[in-house]
Amino acid sequence: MDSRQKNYLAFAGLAVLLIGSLFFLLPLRQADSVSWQAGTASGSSALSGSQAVIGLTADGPAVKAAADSTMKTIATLQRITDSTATVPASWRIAASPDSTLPISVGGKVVTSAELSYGTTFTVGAYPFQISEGRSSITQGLDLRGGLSVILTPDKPADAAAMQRALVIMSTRVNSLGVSEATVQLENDNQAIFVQLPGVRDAAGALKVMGQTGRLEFLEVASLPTTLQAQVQDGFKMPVGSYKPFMTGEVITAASAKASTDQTKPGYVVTMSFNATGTAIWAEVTTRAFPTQARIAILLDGSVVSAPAVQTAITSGDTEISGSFTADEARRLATILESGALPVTLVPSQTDNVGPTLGQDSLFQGVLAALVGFGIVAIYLAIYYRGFGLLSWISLGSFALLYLGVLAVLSSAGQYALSLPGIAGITLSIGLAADTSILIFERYREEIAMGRTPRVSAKSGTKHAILTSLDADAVTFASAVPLFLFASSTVKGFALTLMIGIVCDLTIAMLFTRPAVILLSEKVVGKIPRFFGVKGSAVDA
Amino acid sequence: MRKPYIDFMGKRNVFFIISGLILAVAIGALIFKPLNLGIEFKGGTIITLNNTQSATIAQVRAAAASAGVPDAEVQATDRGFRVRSTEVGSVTAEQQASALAASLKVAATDLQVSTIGPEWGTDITNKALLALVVSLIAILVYISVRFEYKMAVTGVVALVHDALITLGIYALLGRPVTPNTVAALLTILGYSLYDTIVVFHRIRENTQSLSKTTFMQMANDSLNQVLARWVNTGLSSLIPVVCLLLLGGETLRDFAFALTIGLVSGAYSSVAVASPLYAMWKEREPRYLALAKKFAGAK
Repeated sequence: MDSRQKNYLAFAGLAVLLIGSLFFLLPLRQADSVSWQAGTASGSSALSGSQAVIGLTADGPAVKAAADSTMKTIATLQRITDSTATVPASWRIAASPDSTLPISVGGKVVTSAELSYGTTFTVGAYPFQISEGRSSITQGLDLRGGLSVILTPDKPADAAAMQRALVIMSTRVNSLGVSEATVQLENDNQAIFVQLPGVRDAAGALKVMGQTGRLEFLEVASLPTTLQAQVQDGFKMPVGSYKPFMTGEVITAASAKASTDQTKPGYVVTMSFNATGTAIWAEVTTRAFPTQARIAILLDGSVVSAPAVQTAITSGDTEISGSFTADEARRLATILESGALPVTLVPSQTDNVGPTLGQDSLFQGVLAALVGFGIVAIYLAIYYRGFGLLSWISLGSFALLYLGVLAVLSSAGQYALSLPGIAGITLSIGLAADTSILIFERYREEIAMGRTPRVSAKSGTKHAILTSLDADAVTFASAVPLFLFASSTVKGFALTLMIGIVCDLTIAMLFTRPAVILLSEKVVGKIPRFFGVKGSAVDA
Repeated sequence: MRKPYIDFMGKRNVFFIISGLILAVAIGALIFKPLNLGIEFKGGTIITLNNTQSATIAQVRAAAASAGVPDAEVQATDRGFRVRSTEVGSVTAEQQASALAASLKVAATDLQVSTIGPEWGTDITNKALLALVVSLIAILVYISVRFEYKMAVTGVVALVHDALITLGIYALLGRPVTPNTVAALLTILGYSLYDTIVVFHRIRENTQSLSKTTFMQMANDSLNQVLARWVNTGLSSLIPVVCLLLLGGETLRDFAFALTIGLVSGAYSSVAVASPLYAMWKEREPRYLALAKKFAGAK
């Protein structure tokens, strides 16, 4: 293969990479979508506009941009753009005036409601769900908004304890009902990283996560008389004032459900125990039931509930009734089911970002990067003329490849763009321009030494790429320890920078070098001035 | 167009004095006016409020006090305000922030609340130091293997010079140092070597055919040969970072400020510190000592 073929091969390789990048990158952001179930069949539709109509056709439910004669309108969806709405950038559902089908959200019948992503709502008998459109480059919570929390044990915990804590924490986080929440171990298994996109009540979520979950059961009768009267919901037991008969590990399941007892409306919590628990529970309830004595359930020493024993329970299956609301019952059930955390977790770092603020940060960052990119491109064109224009293609391809790689990693769930990541991108723009400059300068210099454009191109670009390889490698070497050791926010910066360096070198080898060589063979000799090359030195 | 020729090596003592003075100020600042470590290192809360309409600093301060935010330190940003305060626990911090936002009529979507526990801050600091040490070792090893240890050592001297100046400016201005600052600083370590590597590459290339002049003279020629690209790569790296500093918003400014100082200092130190030190060191080798004797006076 001669060298010219090699150059064209490099272009072909680059073309494949760039087309691949476009494929992953476009569309930059997909529309939200709504999906539904109709019996065993299901359907889904993109919500590309700001409103949509839910209707019924002969074949079942359908969602369209506007009402039409083939379907009967049953509800309308309107995108919420008002930044004061409690559920930002989501949708509001409203019943159609000429429909009798009830809309229900979270078990309640409504005529209109704000919907957060992932919430199931039903229209008539059909369950619907709205999913958020994915950006081709995933945005971190500091840009899209949400609560991220790093929980660490208050004293070093072994990996097994942290694994259990992870499972329990996942249960708690799931109970918050936030779609796309993630819970993972980080930092050598010494921290749990929780991400809750678009969460509304951060303080409430932190409360649920932050409970250490030391769950205890106590016979109120075993307390000194003066203390007995004080045992009420929320009462904090004095340290060492009591002796529990059982702790939370014996609970196998707990759930909340609507009360079936007409005289006591509201919600109840049911729980069941393992064999050990059942035996202890049977003994205690048998002893307590004749006097309807109370049993206090304590979480971290505070009374969460102190029901009176109504009957001896020997099967273990227990129902706690009280005047619970749905939320209270669910909370108690979660606490019971989560059982005792093997370690005490404290939120070491929390970051709660409002979505509008996040998008504003994204806008500022992207604007800054674009302006920087533009000024550098103009400077290169003025200084290097013809080659400056060539560098536009280099920089353009670099940007496309770079974003494409980020999109590929995003779709594999391995990348999320954060603010530090934008800083990494900005620094990489400078790096990419530097590489082009090294190539053009070296090339000009070799021509000034009296070499022909053809020879200068080959040797000059080779030397220049070797130089930038070394310079890039040193920058890379300083990013690797950052990626390996630094805190999670800084990791994003290091990773983005490393990807930028690799993309930069790829473009230098697959595009800038072959392009300079090919141009030198055919074009530069004919219009040397345009390329900023002294005419006298050109003899090709 | 005649290329300018600058006698960097001849003026090296001037550069050393300039660097010495700046370093003295930087180190003095670091000693007498310690770094203002951000709450990320000490533990505390940062509340960011955007779209605060017509609220003034005094109003925000009063609102923060009545919302119970302890020791609130209010700073205006280009989109609103940032309130730093001491540690109160994450749940309380969220509740105080909500109260503060409500009293200033700021929507929950325009609010950011970050809390950091005190021990986590120590953890972050230790990790940053670990990354720093590993970074330096990696750089030293790479340059020693690819070039030679004398280049590695003088390169790292220039880099410490840049890091000290950057930190000194932070101390002087009392600008809070955040983990983002540290990340930027660590990157500067690598990136400030970019120019140094470009110069060293050329010096090494010219060393191979060195016989007609002294090492010092050849090093100066090398610097002048790469002068245009030194200016251009410096500018093209600096432009995007300065854009980030001016347009990028509060968080990105943390990165951009350190990066800007580091890039300027790094470009300067590669010709004013690393190269002269390296040339002086090399000139003590017997081979180049002989050349220096041979051409003494010819200069």
